[in-house]
Amino acid sequence: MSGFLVPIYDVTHLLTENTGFDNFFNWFFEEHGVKNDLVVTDITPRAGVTIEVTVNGSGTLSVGTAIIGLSKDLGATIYGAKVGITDFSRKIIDPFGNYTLVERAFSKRADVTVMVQGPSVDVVASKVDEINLLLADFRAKPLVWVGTEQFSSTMIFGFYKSFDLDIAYPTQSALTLSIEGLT
Amino acid sequence: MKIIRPFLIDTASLVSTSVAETVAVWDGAVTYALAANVLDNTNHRIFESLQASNLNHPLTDPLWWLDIGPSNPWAMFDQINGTLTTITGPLDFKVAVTGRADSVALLNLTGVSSVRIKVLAQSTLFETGQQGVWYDPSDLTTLSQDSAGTTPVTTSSQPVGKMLDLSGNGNHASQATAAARPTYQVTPERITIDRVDDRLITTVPAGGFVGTMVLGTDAGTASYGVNIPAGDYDIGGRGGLYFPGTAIIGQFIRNVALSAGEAAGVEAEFVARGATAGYGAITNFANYWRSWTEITSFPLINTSAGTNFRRAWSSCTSLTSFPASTFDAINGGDFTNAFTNTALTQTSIDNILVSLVASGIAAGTRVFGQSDGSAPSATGEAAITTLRSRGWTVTVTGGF
Repeated sequence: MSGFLVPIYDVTHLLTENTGFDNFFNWFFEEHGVKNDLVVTDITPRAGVTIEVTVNGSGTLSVGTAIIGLSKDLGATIYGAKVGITDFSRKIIDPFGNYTLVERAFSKRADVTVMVQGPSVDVVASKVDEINLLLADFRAKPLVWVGTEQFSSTMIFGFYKSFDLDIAYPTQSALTLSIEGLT
Repeated sequence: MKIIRPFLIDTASLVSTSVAETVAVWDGAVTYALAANVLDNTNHRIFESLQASNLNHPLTDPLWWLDIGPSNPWAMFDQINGTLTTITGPLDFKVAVTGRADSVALLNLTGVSSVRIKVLAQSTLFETGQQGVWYDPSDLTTLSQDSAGTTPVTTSSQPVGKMLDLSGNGNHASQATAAARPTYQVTPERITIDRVDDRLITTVPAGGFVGTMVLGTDAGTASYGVNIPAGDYDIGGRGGLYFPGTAIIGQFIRNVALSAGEAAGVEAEFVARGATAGYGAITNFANYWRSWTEITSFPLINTSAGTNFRRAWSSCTSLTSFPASTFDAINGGDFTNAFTNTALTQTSIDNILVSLVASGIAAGTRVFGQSDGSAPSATGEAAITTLRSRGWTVTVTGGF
């Protein structure tokens, strides 16, 4: 039937990030940074909905990537994850040692280990098999990877370079992922 | 570790976006200069002319055209994080999702302070075939200038001769008399009525509507209990004359009563579309609900600015239930004939009289009129005695 749309989820997320401040001097005199990535994974997953996104800001604003999709939890990311960027800028040195720097794009990357756990060996086995198939399906396809929502540096839009499933213990398996972001 | 499997956002699934294309679509009849930009509207990409006098060379010709990137609205939906969609002011887009989605990711944001995410679902209010109507003037596709529905309304100040029912029941409303047609206006999108003769008429099917009506107007929004018999029913001024406001932002009637939460949801929807939330700014309620014979129960509304309630509920012949405390904070006491020819229960008339005492009005016009329905109880009679001691002229059923 031709109906009308009513909101079933309506949440505004603020992007101001003050978490870098651990003392009042920094709070008052440092620049207040703003997050540049937002990942929300708690939307009511009802079928056949319309999702409306309103991005607010004063003056000119820009969005690099907007993704809507279905999330899946692979397991707990354990400490020891490594994040960084790959810089594509040009840094040319002349014979006299003077650098010419040309700023180019960069991409994020991360190396993380995820513990796939379950109450029994059967559950873990099916999880491991599923992850193996799923990641094989998404080879060379960009996904949003959220290492942990606490660290926005672990949120990457990209693909995995490699993954290893280490079936280490009956109820715990380790998934090692090497993720390469898109510029 | 969570992964989000992206849902493909393309022309079919992108319902709307506030970012406009700025580059003209490629046209084989136009001669393009060197470095001129054109839009490939199928793939949403911008091409730059590599040569002067570029006439009728397709965009696929690499000697003449160079792909320089996605067009502005689509830059955020491509797979490259570095291509930016840039806009001044809020960026708003809507995507109709096939299947399920529980995640939104926005990456490489600059100049952004907050992001509002709304999930809109098809309303379930008519899902099981309930009878009713839903009129939404903000949906231009439902409005026509003539009563046959052939000439669409396209811009503000045009008359509205027919408004389609969005409930799926086909209870469309129309007006055959040109002079009695309401007018479509924008900001907010609404249809305005002159309170002389303007109204649209819908035919209520056999069995009538017994349930809830939510009405959002420029004066206020409220939910009423209604009992509408089968036959013609006025959308807009009752008899063209009596209406709580001067414009309809939305009207919803369902044959089965709404729960409090559902009614609040519909009210919120009207308010989001520009209806005024409460009646708190209205001073003159005269004739607002007069002759609304279908109303059975009246909601608790904000009357705190009200001074004049002359005939506001007069001839609401089915009105039985009226809430307590409605008039506790009013500014004036002109209730001349306010409740004449109503069917108020004893509790309701007591509620009204007790609330008038609570208002403390002891100056200015102090007149109250009720006829038909129940006489007040001892509680109401005590209230009347107090009101009379404050200079009120009170006329009630039963002649106390």
